[in-house]
Amino acid sequence: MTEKTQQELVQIDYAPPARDWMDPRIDFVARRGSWSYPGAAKNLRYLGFPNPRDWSPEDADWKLPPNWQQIIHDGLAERLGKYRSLKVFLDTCVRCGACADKCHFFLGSGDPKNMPVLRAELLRSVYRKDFTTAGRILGSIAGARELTPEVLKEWFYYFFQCTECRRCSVFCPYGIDTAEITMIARELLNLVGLNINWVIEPVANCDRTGNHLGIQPHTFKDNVDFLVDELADVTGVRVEPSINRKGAELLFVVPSADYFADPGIYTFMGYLLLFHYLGLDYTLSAYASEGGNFGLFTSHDTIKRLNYKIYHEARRLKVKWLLGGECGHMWRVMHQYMDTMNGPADFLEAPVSPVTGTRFEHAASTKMVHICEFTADLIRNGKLKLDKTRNDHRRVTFHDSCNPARAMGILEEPRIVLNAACNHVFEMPENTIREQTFCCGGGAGLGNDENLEMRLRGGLPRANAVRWVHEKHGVNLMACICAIDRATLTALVEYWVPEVGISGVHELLGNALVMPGEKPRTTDLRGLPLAGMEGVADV
Amino acid sequence: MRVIWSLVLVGALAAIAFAGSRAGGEAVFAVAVPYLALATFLVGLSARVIGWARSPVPFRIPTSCGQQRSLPWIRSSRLDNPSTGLGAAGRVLLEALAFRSLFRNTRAELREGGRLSYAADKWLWAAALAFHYSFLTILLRHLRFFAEPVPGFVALLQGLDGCFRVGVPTFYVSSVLLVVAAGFLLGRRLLDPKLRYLSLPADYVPLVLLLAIAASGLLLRHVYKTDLLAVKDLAVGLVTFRPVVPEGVGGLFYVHIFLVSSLFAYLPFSKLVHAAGIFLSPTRNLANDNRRRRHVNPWNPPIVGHTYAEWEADFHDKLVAAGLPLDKE
Amino acid sequence: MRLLERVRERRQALADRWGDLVLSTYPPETASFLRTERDPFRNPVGTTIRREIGALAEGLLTGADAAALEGPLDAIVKIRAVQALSPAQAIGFVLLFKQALGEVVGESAGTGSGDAAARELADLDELHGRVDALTLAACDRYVACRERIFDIRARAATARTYALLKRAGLLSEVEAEGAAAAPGAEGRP
Repeated sequence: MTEKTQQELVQIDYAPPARDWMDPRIDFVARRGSWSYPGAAKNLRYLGFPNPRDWSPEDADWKLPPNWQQIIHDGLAERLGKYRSLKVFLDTCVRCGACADKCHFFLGSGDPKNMPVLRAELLRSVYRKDFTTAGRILGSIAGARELTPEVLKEWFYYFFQCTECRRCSVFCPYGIDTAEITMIARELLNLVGLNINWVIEPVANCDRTGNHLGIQPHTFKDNVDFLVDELADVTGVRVEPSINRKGAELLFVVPSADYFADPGIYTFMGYLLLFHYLGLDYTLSAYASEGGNFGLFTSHDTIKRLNYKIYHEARRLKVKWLLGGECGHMWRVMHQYMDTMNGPADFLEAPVSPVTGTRFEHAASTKMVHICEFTADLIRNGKLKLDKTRNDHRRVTFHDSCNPARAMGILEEPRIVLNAACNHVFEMPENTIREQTFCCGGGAGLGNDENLEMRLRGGLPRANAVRWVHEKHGVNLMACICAIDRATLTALVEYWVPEVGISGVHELLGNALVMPGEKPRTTDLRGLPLAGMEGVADV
Repeated sequence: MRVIWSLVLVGALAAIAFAGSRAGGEAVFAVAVPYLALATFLVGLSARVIGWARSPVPFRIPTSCGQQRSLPWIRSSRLDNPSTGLGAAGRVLLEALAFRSLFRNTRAELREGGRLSYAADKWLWAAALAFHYSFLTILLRHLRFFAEPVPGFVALLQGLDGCFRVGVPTFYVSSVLLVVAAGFLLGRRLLDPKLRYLSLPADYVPLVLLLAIAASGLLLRHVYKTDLLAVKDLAVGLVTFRPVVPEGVGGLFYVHIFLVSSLFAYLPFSKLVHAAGIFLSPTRNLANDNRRRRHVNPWNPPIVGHTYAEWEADFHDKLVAAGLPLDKE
Repeated sequence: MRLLERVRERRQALADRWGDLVLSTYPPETASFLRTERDPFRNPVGTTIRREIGALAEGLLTGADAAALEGPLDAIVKIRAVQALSPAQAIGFVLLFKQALGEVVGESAGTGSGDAAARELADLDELHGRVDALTLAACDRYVACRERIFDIRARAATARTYALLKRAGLLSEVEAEGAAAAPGAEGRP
């Protein structure tokens, strides 16, 4: 082969063909690593969801119900009547492109269909065809498309490639929220039995056992006991959490990953230490043992179904109010949906901190307070004795998790806690934090193993900013207030910036909190030696 | 390719008006078409807005773009994350009048010594703002044709707009800005591959139509000067519902008025309804006071999850073994 | 060493062209964004590739040893190893150096006769040899990246999620039969 033809080959091979976006063709075999396994039939059956069957995206035939087009058409019509958001978002987009380079999946993958505007156009084009005069008459000239099996497959691919992080919505001049579009599109897909197992199995488990992994009550208790033992080893203090105890002042709800997964367990230890320190009258629940809610990634009805147990349990246990742990999508549900769906919570009392007497006016109706709000108030009132040097082996940055940042706005509270607990805190570049924060790449049920390549692409913008603070400030730990983050960011940094670890905010608080009667600490909650204790600690 | 459609369409519209008025259809183009267009605009837009408003807002889903209002000593972001209805109104107004969200586009730049600086990346924001405000100015300026005597603010606006006094008759700033901004927005769609990829014919039509309207208007004012008195007679006649068909205004004038009519008639059926949509966008027009006040969903379905009693029955033995308290013994 | 000197004088042009060629391997709708957006946080793919291609070009021209090129090479291969590219596509960006070189020095380089041409040909051979070595190094990096991905998968699927549960007891799954399975294991690929 002469050199010239070799060069030509290289060139021809690599330049991808330009294709119109309206012509869909997803090769699921070639794109392994960027989609998730379908929901197992047993889970659909348990939940009473339509069309349970054994299928694979790689099959030519997805075994759809014969009238699937009609089902989706009717489903869309119903939702247009129920959600003003959907109607307005489908009608008002001007395709200005402001969102185009805001999606982490677009930035990391280079796939133009990951531009938020195009993700929405996938649904919008079908809406035009079925529900607008121009689309019916003019077809593709008006941007309308027939809902063919290929289009449906493309929906499955791309709507399970959106983490519902809402970053695009920040930049949209009309506030069009792709998360909302994706949520509705996933509802439609669920109507014909298209969903992913990483979402649907936690939903089924959560409904039955109370939490995503299907942890039964005795195992829940064993796990908590195990963490209590670990804490006693590190601190010399034996904390005494209670489970399913009636008449406690408050019910504490956490994402389940906090009591079974590394590194969430260290955050959980932080909570337990704090509550013991304060002598808080609280209880955990083995029934309401999941703050997370994968219904958010399934359908609005499923959100309500899974969220039901929170108020139900609070009423049964006769607590006064609710405190919630560090979790992103859990807080989207608690903040924006719970009261509307399962309220009014008139059997509870407006939350008041028993330590400081602060009334949490902003939670007067929902009666649920975020642990960072609770702790920030304690710090402000000087109620905590903290030894910051016990985090001196950490140089910390803070990752704003999508939902707390963009569906709530809890930006300062975790920073207050972090700065009170650590001496070395550094911010990432400003267009990657706060409301402009980049997603971990694994939210909305996409944090599974088979989808890892896509997660690593989508997480690149976040990791890239982490690398920046790592190189500039020697950052070796990224704190966050989200259980999904704690799981997915761990994989993300392991690939992109292995020098950096992941933790929760209350883990670091737990390190710094000086407990009455504690033994001299030589390690942090993970058992890693504290700064200056490298030789002393028995690791 | 998609831009061709819009060129063909706008060209055809212009040709229809030109030929039609020449062929004796002056009354149609001067009177019937504007009335029809205006009626279509009003009915169509109302129908669209009512259509949106008829769908409820089941959930309170503002996108929070700043610190929430929680503890009193933490400064909250009153406009970007409003906690009151007034704040939300301010947010929508800021969005509608100043295009707040487009303004958010910052670009980080690496400087010497690894320092970061943040520069504004505001081309889209600036062009959009220039485009919309010059369009508004031009619309208002045209009021001078429809009212006698000319209202004071219109005269003032006209004076300000023509303050540079370039050319006879003077060129208006707004005309130049409109053409430049619309040209920029069109050029962006054509030259930026990612925008070209996502643009539909419906994205080119309004820009091409507006440019054609601007071109015909500029020609009428500066080149093929039309009889302004005749135009004013027509305009005043239209608003007083005593329409007269003007004489000696030429084919180009009919092209201009027909294209304007087309724009108005087209608006409710196109993406141009974004003008109204912004006020109804639930991520922008709601206060983020979710936990403070309960938001009511009118169709809240009666869904009940797995109850505690069912759960206790399922795991009874395990609860007993673990020593956890039971409701039923 | 006339040809090498000529190339060194134009190394910026060479690096730019090579970078453009690499970024053109992405879909055209995206490629121009990747090429033009300079904000490293808004465009991590484009800015990383451009920066590291510059370092690689410099290294190829100066004959830097493999260890010195590992960092820049790793940064690029790491990105391309997770994207929707075949292994050949992911690694082949190195070979695009030859095309950029040809364009920068002119197609006629090394084609004449006489001593000068022979020296040019030798220079060209030398450079091409370095590119070939770098391509092989890229293969190694690519495989290392893929192995790391599988490591991460394996660890996530076993130790991280299940360490505590194994210690504490068994799981209950919905209608689970037999051994507890990881979420997702039942949905077949």
